[in-house]
Amino acid sequence: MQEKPFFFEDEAKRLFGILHLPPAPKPQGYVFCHPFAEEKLWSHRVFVNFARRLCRAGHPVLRFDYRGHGDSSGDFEDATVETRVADIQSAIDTLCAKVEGLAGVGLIGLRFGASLAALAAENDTRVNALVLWEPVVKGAQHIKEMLRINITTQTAVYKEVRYNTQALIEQMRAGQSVNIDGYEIKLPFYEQIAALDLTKTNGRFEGNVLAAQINKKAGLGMRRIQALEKAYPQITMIEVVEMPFWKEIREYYATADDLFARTLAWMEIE
Amino acid sequence: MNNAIEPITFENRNGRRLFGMLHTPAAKRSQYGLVILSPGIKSRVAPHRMYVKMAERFCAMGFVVLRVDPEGLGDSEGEIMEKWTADVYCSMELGRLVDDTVDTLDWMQQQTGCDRFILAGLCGGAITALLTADRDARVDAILSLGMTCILASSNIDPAKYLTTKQLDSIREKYLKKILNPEALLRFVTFKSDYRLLIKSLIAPLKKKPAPPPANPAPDDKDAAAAGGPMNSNLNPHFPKAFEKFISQNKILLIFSEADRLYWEFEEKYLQHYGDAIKPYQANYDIQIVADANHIFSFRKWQDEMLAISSQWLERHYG
Repeated sequence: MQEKPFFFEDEAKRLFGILHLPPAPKPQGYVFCHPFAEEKLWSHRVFVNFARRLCRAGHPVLRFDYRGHGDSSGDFEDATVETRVADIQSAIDTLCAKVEGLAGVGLIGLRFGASLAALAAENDTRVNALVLWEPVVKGAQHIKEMLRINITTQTAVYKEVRYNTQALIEQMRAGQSVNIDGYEIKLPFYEQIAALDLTKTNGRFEGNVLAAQINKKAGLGMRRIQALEKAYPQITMIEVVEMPFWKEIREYYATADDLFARTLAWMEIE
Repeated sequence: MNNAIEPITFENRNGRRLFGMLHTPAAKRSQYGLVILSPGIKSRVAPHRMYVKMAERFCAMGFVVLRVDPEGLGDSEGEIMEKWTADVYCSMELGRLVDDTVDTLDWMQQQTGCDRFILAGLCGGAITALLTADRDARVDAILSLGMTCILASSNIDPAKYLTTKQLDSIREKYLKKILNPEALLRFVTFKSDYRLLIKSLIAPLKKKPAPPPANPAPDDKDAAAAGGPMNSNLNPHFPKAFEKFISQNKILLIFSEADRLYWEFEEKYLQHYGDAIKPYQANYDIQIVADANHIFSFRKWQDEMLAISSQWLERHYG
C-alpha cells in the first residue's frame, strides 16, 4: 500500500491531500470529508485508521484538507459552505484523475463534514455512496453550539460573558469575525451554516446512504438523525456505540471499532 | 521567488514512515533549522493551525522550518496504544517523542544542511524540545509555548495536585453558582465533587502548604533531594534538564496568563528552583500573554505570541 502526500491546486487554492493507494485498486474509491475546526484534529487518527482499513481492503482513498484547514492554503475565515463543497468536488476530480478505472466514489464524512458530503453528493453523478457519521442535520443548532465555545472561552479567561450569542452575531453583521476555539468565522459562513438543513434535500441524492448516530451507550436511539429517513430513498440508519471522539474526551481514540465494523459491513467489506 | 512548502516523509529508527511539512524560504537568512514539535496529540498542524501560522511567519524571516508528525500521531505510521489521553500526555512528558525528534534533526541536517537547531512547541512540544536538547547537542535554543513541568496521569485524583490559582478559580466558580438552581440541585443530589468543593473553600485558610508526608512517594525523593517540592506531580526530569539547558543555551518561555501550566510552572518549579537558576537569568526569557488561554484562542493573543516569538528569534538568531 502506498500513502502519498501531495498538493493539488488551481488558481484559487492549494489543497493538501494524502492518497491511500492499494497495489491493485478496486473500482470503488472513497473521499473523506473532515469535520469543523478542532473536531478535525480530535478525530484525525480515526480518519487515518479507517482510510488504512479501506485501503487494505483494496479501495483507493483520498483524505484531504479543505482550504483554510490543516495544511491547505487560505485563511479559515474566508472559507464558506460553498468553498468547502467545491473543495470536495476538487478532491473527487483528483481521486478520479490519479486512479484509473474508478466506477464510483463514496463520500465519508463526520459531523459537519458529513453534511458537506451530503451537499457535494447532490449534484455529482460520480458519487455513488454516502456515509454520514453523526451528521449535523440542522446547521442552526450546530452553529449555536460553536458560538457557545466563544462564550465558554470568555467565561474561562475574563470570568464573565462580555458578548452573548446575539452580540457575537451582531459583530459578524458589522463585518467582524468571531472566534471559535481559535478559528475566525464571518457572516457568510455563519449564514450558510445556519441555513443548512439536510432534511430539505428531498432525496436529491438517490444512491445508497448510511447514516450513523454515535451514542455513548447502546439503546439511546437515533433521534438526531431520524429526520434523514425521509430525505433519502436508499438510506440505512444505524446506532453505533462510541465515545464522541471528535471532542476532547478522557479516552485516547485512534480507532472506532464499532463504527468501523458497522460501516464496513454496510459497505460489504470483510 | 516565493517561500516553498512541500510535504515530506522519512523513516524513523523504528522503520515507521513519518509525515511532515517543510517550509523553505526564498532567501535563507539563518544557519539554524527550526523544528516545530507536536503539541500533545494534535499533530503538526496544532490547535487552530497555530503551527502553520508560526511556520509561515518564521519562514518569511528566513528560517527553514519543519513540522513533523511523530510515530502514531497525525498522518504518520505506527500506533499509540494507551487507553487514556492523560497517559499519552504523561508518556510524552517522560520523553516518548525524543527519539523521533532526534531522527527529525538527522533528516533535516541531511536534506537542508542545517546543523544547528531551534526547537519550538506548545505544551507537549515544549517539554519534548527540552528533553531532546538534554540528549542532542545540536539544539541551540528553544521557543516554548506553555511549557508543561508536571506529569499528567489518568490514575490520580484530579484534586490532588491543584495549584493555588486553580483552587482560587474553582472557588470563584462555585461561589458564583451558589444561588443557581441547577447547581443547587446537583449539590443536594450528590452530583457535586464535594472533595474539590471543600478543598477550594478551605484553601485561603491555609497560610502555608501542607507539611511533607513522613514517607514521600518514590518520585518525590529525587525532587526532595534536589531541594524541590515533595508530594508534587512535578516532572522528575524537568529541573535537571531545564537547569542544564539554560546554563549554556537560550530559551524563550511564553505562557498564557489564564493557563494552569503557567501557574504550575510558577508554583511547582520557580518557587522551589528559582534560586538555582538565577545565575543563568540572561539565558531565559519569560513572557506572559495577558488573559490568554492555553491555546491562544483569540486573535490578539495569537498575534502577541507571534510578535514576541519573532522578535526573540530576530534578536538572537536572525
